[in-house]
Amino acid sequence: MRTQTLFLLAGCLLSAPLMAEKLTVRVQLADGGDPVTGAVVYLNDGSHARPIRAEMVQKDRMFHPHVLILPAGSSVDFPNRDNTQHHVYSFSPAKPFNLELYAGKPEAAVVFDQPGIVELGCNIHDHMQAFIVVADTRTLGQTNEQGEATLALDFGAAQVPDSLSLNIWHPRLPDSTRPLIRKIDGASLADTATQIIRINLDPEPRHEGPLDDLQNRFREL
Amino acid sequence: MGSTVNRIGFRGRLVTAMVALVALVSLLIGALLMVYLFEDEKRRALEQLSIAERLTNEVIERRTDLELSRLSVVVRDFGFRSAIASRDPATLGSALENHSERVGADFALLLDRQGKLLASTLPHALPGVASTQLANARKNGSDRSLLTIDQRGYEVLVIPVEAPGLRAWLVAGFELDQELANIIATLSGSSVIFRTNTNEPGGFTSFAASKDIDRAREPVLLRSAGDQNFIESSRYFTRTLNLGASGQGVFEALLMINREASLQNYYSRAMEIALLVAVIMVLAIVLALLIARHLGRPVLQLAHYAHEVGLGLNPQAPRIRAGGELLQLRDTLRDTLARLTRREAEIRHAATHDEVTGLGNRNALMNTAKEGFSAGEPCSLIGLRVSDLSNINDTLGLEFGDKVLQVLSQRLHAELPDASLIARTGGGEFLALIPEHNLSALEQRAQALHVSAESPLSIDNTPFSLRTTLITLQLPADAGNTSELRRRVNLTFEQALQQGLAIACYKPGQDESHLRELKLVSDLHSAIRTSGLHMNYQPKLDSRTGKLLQAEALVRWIHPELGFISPEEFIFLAEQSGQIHDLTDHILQRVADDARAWFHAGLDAGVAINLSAMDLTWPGLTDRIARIFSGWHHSMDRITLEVTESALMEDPEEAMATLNRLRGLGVTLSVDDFGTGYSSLSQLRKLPVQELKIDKSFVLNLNTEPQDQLIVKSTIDMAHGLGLKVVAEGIENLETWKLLQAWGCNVGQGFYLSRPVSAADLAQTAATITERQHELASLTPEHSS
Repeated sequence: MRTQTLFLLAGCLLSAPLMAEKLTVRVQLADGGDPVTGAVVYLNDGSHARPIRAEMVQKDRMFHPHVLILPAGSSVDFPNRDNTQHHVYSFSPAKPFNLELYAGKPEAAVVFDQPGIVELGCNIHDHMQAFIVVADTRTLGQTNEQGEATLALDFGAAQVPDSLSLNIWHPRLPDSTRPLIRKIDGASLADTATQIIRINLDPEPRHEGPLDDLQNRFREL
Repeated sequence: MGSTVNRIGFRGRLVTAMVALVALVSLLIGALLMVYLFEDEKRRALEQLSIAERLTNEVIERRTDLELSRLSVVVRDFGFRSAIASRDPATLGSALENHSERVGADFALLLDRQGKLLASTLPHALPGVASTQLANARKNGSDRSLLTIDQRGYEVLVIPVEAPGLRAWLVAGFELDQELANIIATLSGSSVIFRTNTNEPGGFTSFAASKDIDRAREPVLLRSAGDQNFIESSRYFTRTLNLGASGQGVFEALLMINREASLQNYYSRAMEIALLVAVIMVLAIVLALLIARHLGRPVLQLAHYAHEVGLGLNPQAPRIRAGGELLQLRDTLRDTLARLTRREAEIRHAATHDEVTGLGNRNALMNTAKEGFSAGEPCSLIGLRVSDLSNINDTLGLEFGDKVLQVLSQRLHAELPDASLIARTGGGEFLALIPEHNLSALEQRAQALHVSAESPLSIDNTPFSLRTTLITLQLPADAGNTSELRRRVNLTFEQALQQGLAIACYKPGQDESHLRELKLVSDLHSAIRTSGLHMNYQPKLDSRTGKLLQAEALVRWIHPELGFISPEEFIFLAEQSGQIHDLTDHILQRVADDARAWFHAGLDAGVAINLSAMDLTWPGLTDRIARIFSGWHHSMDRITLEVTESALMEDPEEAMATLNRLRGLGVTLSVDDFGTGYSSLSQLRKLPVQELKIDKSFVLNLNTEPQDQLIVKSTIDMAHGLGLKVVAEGIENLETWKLLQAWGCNVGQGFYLSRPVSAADLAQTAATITERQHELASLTPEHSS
């Protein structure tokens, strides 16, 4: 659903007159070449998006969504929809904060004004984890199941730079606290060819659900 | 004495054998037990070490798990994470110190996600944590390694700090200290040393030891290593356990069990076993002695018993409590002894008693007589011999004969109640020893016995009477020993029979002449064999020519001890002793040899040989003569065999047959000693003889006795009438010779003509006779009757 919103945003910005209007990036694993789904790809091309207001819901002792992409300056609510309290915190330099034990909806939303990756955790539920990607650009996308994301390029009247920094981030990056940065030759942007990015990912964590079967049963009682 | 030695030897051997056996067995068992004990102690020690090894692993593993779980709590502590997020060095340092104390770590480090040091509880730098450790910790959630710092061993754990992504690394060190060693030592019952090898080969650095190890006193242990997992030192059973590799070397746990405790246990067991063996030995000796006594006594008793039986004593059989073979042996010995005694009595009785009459036998009499001789007690002996017992046996049967003897023994008993012994010493011979009597009294007793013995008796309703001969001897006057007694009793019986006496008493000297005869008989045998006899020859002259016609062989015996033995005596003895054939044979041989020698010397002489009466009943005589004189150099009639008239009369039929066979040989047969026998003229007429030899008793005094002259002259006439030649012997003077020549006597022989000479001298004698031919020849009959 979020992805849809993203595509909607991208569609609104389609007005590049000179260059190829789109940059297709395919992200795949360095070893094996399997496509990587859900990687966030963005260019800091100087464009700025308008801040929004978003929600990071806690439900079933999980954060929803797992990855939230925001323009800088956006504010986020953390409504608690579990029957337990949560203590949401972040030690990320982009936005350290601490919402002490609470139920329902905290009084104030948290504003993310610095671009960067913010890791969220719950102090009393160690397994609860979520990421907020704060990007100060409109040129942004997330890879689909084929590992591809298409970015709309709009440099306006400005000169196309010789090289561009492509940020790629994925929750399972070995260092998930910041995006990988790949330099892209500006000339190559004229091609419609797909940029292929190879990255390493940590293996999928063990599939331990937020609640095991026994806990679910207790809940249903 | 000997039995005592045997006694000791028997028991000693038994005891020795038993004790040796027990000693061998118990020592073997003891030695085996000791070996097993030793091995068992060792095995138990090794087992304990194995347990200690597993336990050490387990304890260390659990400690690591515990530390890790503590650390994982710490890294999730919000305050700790907040402190890390603060990035303030002072806050970080104090939080690290505080939280590492919570988990009991000996030191702690905090590294950032790239491994750069953020904070440390150590005063100085730490050898860097390798990135591989971080990667391993990232992958597995934690990393464990071993590290040596300042001669101390540490277990180093690395754990990530996540908030919730990786924020930092917490490194915590836990020393392998004495406390841990003590825990393991307490649980496993062994001593523990933690150590690592150093750069130098075989060198070790020990970090900690359980408190029962005096590190100063165990430098060898602390140093010693070896590559073996198990080290057996003199004082400890040890095992080394590899705990893992550190950067510098290998960490080891050295597990040790003091051998002294085990050995002490072993030695005390050994003492117990030795004591047990000693007790068993003593028991065995006692048991062996008891058994030896129990077993040995009856054996010795039996041995003693058997010894006494062997000595011929009649011992009491020993009482034997033990049953079985010994009792059986005792009974066998006893029964054997009983049978021996009985048999001996039977043999003794049979040896001294007569079956038929129950009287003593010859042995009994001789024994009694011998006892009397040795005691020097004089006594008298009466002997009785049934004259014709063999006739009674032959005609009336042996049983009848036995009954006769039994009756006779009863009569002897009745007549000689004072006899010390009455014995049947032969078929019909009884001897009785009675107290000493003088000669007349003894003769009276003998007379009475004779009357009693010959009085009529009735056996099986058959009236019967016996003829007996009795003798008497005075002992020891008439016989001083048993052999004399036997000989003289026999001699006296024979004298009595010869002289037809009913009662004879021994006369001193009888036995001596008897002994001389026995000696002569014995020596004659050897004299015949060794040519101990001498041959003399007396010439027989032709009465007309006065020439030597024949030589009569006369045998002479000069005994080496007894001197000259007359031919009459020894020829008689030869006839009595059955040696006459041998003697005749010998003489024939000698004569034949001598005659051949004469012939070869050129002497012309026939031979005349006297034959015994018994030779005429010798069937082999003719063959012997034929053989001996085979190849005779003269005609056979120059051999004259002279037979006495009496010999011819003893068995005329047999003599006639023999003479006929001899005549068949061609020899001349002569009747010797004619005129002294009882031969009838009719008998003489039938005999195949060619010659008569007038006995010298008629010739010796022929010149002076007219009766002799009548007899000789008529005998010559009669012989000539019968066609026989006449020989006269005993011519001792010329008158006689001339008378005989005048009467036509054919041949003369006598001292006047020639004495008997040896064979060698005959030639000389013949020469002398030839010289006297003028005197001896009857050229002109001057004296005609």
